[in-house]
Amino acid sequence: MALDTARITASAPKRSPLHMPPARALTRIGILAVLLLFVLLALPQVLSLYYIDAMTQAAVYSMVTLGLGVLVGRVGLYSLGQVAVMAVGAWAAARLLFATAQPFPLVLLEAGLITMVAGTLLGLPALRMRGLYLALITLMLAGAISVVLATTNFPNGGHGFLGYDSASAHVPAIRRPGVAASDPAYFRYSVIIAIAMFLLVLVHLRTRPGRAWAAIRQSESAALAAGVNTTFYKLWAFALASFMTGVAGGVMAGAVRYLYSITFQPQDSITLLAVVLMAGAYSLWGAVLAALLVQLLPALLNNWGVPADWLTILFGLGVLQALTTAPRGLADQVPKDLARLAGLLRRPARQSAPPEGSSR
Amino acid sequence: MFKFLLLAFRNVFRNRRRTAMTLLMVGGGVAGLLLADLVGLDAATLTFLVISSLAAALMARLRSITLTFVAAIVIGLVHDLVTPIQSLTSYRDMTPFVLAALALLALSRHQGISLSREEA
Repeated sequence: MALDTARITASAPKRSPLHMPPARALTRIGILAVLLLFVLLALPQVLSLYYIDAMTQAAVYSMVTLGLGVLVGRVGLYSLGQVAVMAVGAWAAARLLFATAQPFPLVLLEAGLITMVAGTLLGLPALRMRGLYLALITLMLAGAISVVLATTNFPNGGHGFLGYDSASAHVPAIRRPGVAASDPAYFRYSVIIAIAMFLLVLVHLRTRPGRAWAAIRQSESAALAAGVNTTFYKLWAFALASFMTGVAGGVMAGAVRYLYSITFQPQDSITLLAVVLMAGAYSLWGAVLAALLVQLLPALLNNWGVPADWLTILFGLGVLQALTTAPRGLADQVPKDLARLAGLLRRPARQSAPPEGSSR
Repeated sequence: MFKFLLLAFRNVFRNRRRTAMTLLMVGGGVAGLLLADLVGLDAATLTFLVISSLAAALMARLRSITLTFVAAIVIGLVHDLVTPIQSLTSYRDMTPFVLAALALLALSRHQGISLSREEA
């Protein structure tokens, strides 16, 4: 089985720790653990509430970019409707949180499952198409969803199926889990959920679905000929991405506490795809990087007094650069470039230069 | 209203030549002039407009100018005909998306596996 993984994912830039020297794999896991501890324990102490808020959003968006990364990078399905899918998840979570007294994680799970069903139903007809048409039909569906949401509004504690009460003067906030009532605690909570989602994807990539997706991405007809049920695994990818995006929507609902349809613009999905391609759709780090670019960077710029609108231009240039010169995105390119730079800097000191372009 | 834009859109997708790009720019500019009286001039609305005008080009499967033109008129008609109906009026902005999605689904029914990943 391990051999299979190695052969099929050979083209993917992500090297499995299984095939690394054990010492290197251990170092990697160690660095990851230290990084996670830093994010979970130190960051909420150091950052101001403004940045904690932005980081919570980044954690939420990392789940969305992760789902999009699975679709785009692993299976080769381009979806331009992820923000609308997240809106569906947020709607479902908000409705459940107002209607029931269920614990928060259960609500997240249910919102994820509801979104999964909705996303799969949307994906079912869309699977007939691929490439440009798939991207465009998801964009159309996202537009339709956003119009519906703008009309029905998000639940605000009212009654009925929609749960929206336009007459209510006092709009209650969406409740948070008891253990994560404050902003820093909620940040930790959302990071932990994001980690759970990353592990879910990692399990998928290491096992049968991951191999099937890699085969589909290489060539759909070859995968079909090799006996891979392409429709099933494409739908599975859609379901997984929708589930994670739905959970992200649920976490988002708890993070902002008041939901408005203006938060989920269909054109944001386009930006999101651009950022995912720019940051690197083929690696899990790319998802983290994309989330930071799309949520933390605007917060930083706002703080510095620079209009965040400049980012649209930056992302546009970035995606062009990624598509023309670095198809694996920043997550792959930056370590390589750094290694190259280090090699160049070391050259004057030692006459024997290390081989160029050797990453890690 | 935004038919100029649509025609040019179709062109740019069909053959990626410079003429098509020029047409897109000219068409977009003229459409912009005509649109200025109809919609508010803010970035969000105008971006949304591109998405909905794309719907018409999609209905013609990005293949025919005539069909795009017809599709745009159909979308406009349905949109305005739905307006007086009380239960649907707030959903009327969905028209381009729903029509485009339906058209795409209906038109791409019999499609085998294609060898190249780019082709739809």
